[in-house]
Amino acid sequence: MPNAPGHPRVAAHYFTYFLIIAGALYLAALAASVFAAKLGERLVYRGAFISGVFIFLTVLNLATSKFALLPVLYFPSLDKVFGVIVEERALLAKCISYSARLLFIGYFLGAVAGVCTGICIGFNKTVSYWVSPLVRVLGPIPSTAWVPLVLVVFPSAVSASAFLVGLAVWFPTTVMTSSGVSNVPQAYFEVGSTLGAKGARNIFSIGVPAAMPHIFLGLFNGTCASFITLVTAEMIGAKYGIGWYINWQKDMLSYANVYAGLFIIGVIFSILISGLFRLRDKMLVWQKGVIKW
Amino acid sequence: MVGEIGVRGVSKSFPLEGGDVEALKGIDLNIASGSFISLIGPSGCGKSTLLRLVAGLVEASEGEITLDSRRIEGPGCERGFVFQEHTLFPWLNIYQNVAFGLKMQGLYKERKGDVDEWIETVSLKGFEKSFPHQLSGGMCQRASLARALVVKPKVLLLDEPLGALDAFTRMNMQEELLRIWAAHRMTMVMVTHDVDEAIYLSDRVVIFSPRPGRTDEIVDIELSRPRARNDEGFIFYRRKILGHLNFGGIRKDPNYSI
Repeated sequence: MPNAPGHPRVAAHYFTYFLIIAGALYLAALAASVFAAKLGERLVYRGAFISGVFIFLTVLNLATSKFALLPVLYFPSLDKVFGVIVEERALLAKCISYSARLLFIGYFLGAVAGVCTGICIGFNKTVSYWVSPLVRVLGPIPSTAWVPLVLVVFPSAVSASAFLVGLAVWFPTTVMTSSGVSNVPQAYFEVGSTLGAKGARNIFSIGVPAAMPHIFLGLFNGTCASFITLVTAEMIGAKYGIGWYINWQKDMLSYANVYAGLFIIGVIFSILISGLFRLRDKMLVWQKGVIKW
Repeated sequence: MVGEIGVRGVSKSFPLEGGDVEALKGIDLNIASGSFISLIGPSGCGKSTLLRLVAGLVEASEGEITLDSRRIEGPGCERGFVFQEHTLFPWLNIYQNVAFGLKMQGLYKERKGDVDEWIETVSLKGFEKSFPHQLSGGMCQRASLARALVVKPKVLLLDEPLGALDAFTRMNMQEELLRIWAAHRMTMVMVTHDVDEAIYLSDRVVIFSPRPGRTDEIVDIELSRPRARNDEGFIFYRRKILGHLNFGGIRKDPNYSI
């Protein structure tokens, strides 16, 4: 079927290639499931969803490239969107690596600071007295609201953005950690004390593991906040980065590139989130069937 | 022999809205080393408070408690404690729970064998890798017992340890407690609501009366072991203790004998 005349020509039919590759992967999985029954079960279970996705993509394809039912400028053809991912892969890869660096530095520092602050607040009355009000006031401020101050204080855009990401992670982690620690049943500490646990051992052998489910909840909320902050922070003077890329392309009215960027962000963030879930399942295997979230 | 507890003139009051509440008043009690003592009485009579005082989990308002003539200040691992709920650490498996005390004291390396030995004693062999939520209440309580005993306490304090268990598990656990007590000859102090349990297990039963908690009567159970739950002597003590607790029915004379 020919494309509608309104759409610009594309160098290659990337969407078609994508369909072919996806189809081949599915067939390969189907073939493999003959030998692995578990894979087959999953394939059957996921089958309806997979077909749903492809029906949606087909409808989108018809609405854009085939009949041009949607405004061509804002809704480019899928060929173009997939084309961007292939043709600009070098730039995109560079952007992803910049963003990843920022995200990991910020996330790591924020998470460590959050867990430490939370533990101190949870265990020490004096720290709690002085620091909790501060957390309560500073925490709810969206970290992007700090942009003007941060730009002045930090020497470079990278460190400023990393700080913002860290701040976004720090708040939920602190709150959940401290609430987790203060919700540890007193009986655990009492048992510990009759078994010879003292001082720091109380904290690290009883308090922290008991608060772990809460800490993970905080880290999870922090992860979501960090994604939002990352993309916004990159819009304020970064040189590369996936958020910067989207913003830049939007200014150039290259909506195919914007969608490509959004698609990549979606995929990467969901991979990171599932990674965090995996880690949680592994570390909190003891509470399987006890708490679910 | 070690594990002798002395309680002298101990009172304990807790602050509550509208003034202090006296949980215990003027308790004097001597617990001989290697004996099995039950504390019994209605709810709110302070028997659990006394146990927690001995454990060092709370501090007495007046008086002092000694263990082998040394004043008790704060919790210590020579006094093991078993709670009504099992209070196993849910993030550790059974083995790690039992080994917890030794690890805290840095004795794990030299006494690894004790962990396996105690797990076997409480018949949990094969469940080392299980987490507490995978086991029944009785199994968890046995693991708690092993966890408290692996550090070799001189005194084992039991706060209604069998209260949350069903009747059959309960009787099995009573046998188990007696076996451990006979084999290791440590002092055991148990809080219970169950008169039969107290008579079945104890050398002496201390009866509390409430508000403020005091020791009302101390009954020495002079029955040979093993005891039968339905022989005459047993029933005599049951009537006597129930009489003290004002559950004796028509007959008020506690010294009534068959």
